[in-house]
Amino acid sequence: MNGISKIVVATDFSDASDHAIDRALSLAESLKASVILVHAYGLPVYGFPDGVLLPSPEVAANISDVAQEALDRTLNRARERFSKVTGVLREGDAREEVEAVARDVGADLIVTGSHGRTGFKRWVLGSVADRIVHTSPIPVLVVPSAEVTKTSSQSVSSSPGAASATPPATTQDEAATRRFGYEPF
Amino acid sequence: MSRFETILVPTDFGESAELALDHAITIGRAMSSKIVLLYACPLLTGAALDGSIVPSPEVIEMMQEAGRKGLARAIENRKNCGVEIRSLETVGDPRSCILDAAKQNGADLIVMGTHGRHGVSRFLFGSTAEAIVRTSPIPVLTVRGPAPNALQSLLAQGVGAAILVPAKGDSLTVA
Repeated sequence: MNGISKIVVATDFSDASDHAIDRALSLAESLKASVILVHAYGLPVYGFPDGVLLPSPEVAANISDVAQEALDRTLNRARERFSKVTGVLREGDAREEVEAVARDVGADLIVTGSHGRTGFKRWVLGSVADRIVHTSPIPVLVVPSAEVTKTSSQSVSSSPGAASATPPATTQDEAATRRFGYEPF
Repeated sequence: MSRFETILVPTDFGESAELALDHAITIGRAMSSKIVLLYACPLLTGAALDGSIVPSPEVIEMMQEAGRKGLARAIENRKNCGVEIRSLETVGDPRSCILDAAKQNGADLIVMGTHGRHGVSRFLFGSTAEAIVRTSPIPVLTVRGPAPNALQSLLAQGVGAAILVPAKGDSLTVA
């Protein structure tokens, strides 16, 4: 019988991924498993006919710091609920990094929201979720973003007062940007 | 703390579906969930010039009978697993059958294998699983079975006792 002792969760700090984290924590608690939050950030690279413009070391360090802070905040929130949670920050393509971390730590399950912040609404499945379910040899739990609006009051916010703070859909990206600190593209 | 109360496991009795059922049991045991094991008997139709060919009632009955036996066997094999497993059978397009069954049975999780028995092996991801992941309003856990590749069947036949399979790049595994 296969057990599940390590769960990797992809996070991009969106409401959808917060919800996926919630699901993962519930599962981990029941299964007595540990949770590893993974965030991957990309560095902006501009391509020109004559070459590429890479971010300066300062800019790169700044992006990395902001990402680390956001991950730490998410991690702290998760730890209020469940103690066996750690975080991993990677630079690179989220689609590849999440799988790479899962492989490295020997995860038994990957949990991801169906949509993150960078996908277009019209895409039925976010690119990260889509790629991972197609390529991962490890079982993948895709938590639909549609669940966020439906169940947010009961599962995402454990404190009763927080439910009213949910922003309307149009400002979700703004809220996420504020939390994350810079606007991805 | 949210838990999964009812887990729907669609099966085509293939290897990845069996793995999916075992994963569902792992979760079901931890979360005291119930499992509904579904066999959606596909209505295989063929298009002809002057209409379409549909299976006769006898053929459908035969497939359903096989499905019932398969479900009974899968449940019998896991009778001491500690999770209540109920069987369910439908006839029709597996995609809509699965989503309908999830809704009607109040399932809050679907666990399924990512390649079914049919389908060409170049489609590593089963088309049914793909459609479900894309459209399901509830979480879907996909479990990849061993790839239905030629190597395995060759090995099963005892061919190629000395095939080298690179593993991790730092060592070689003799298959």
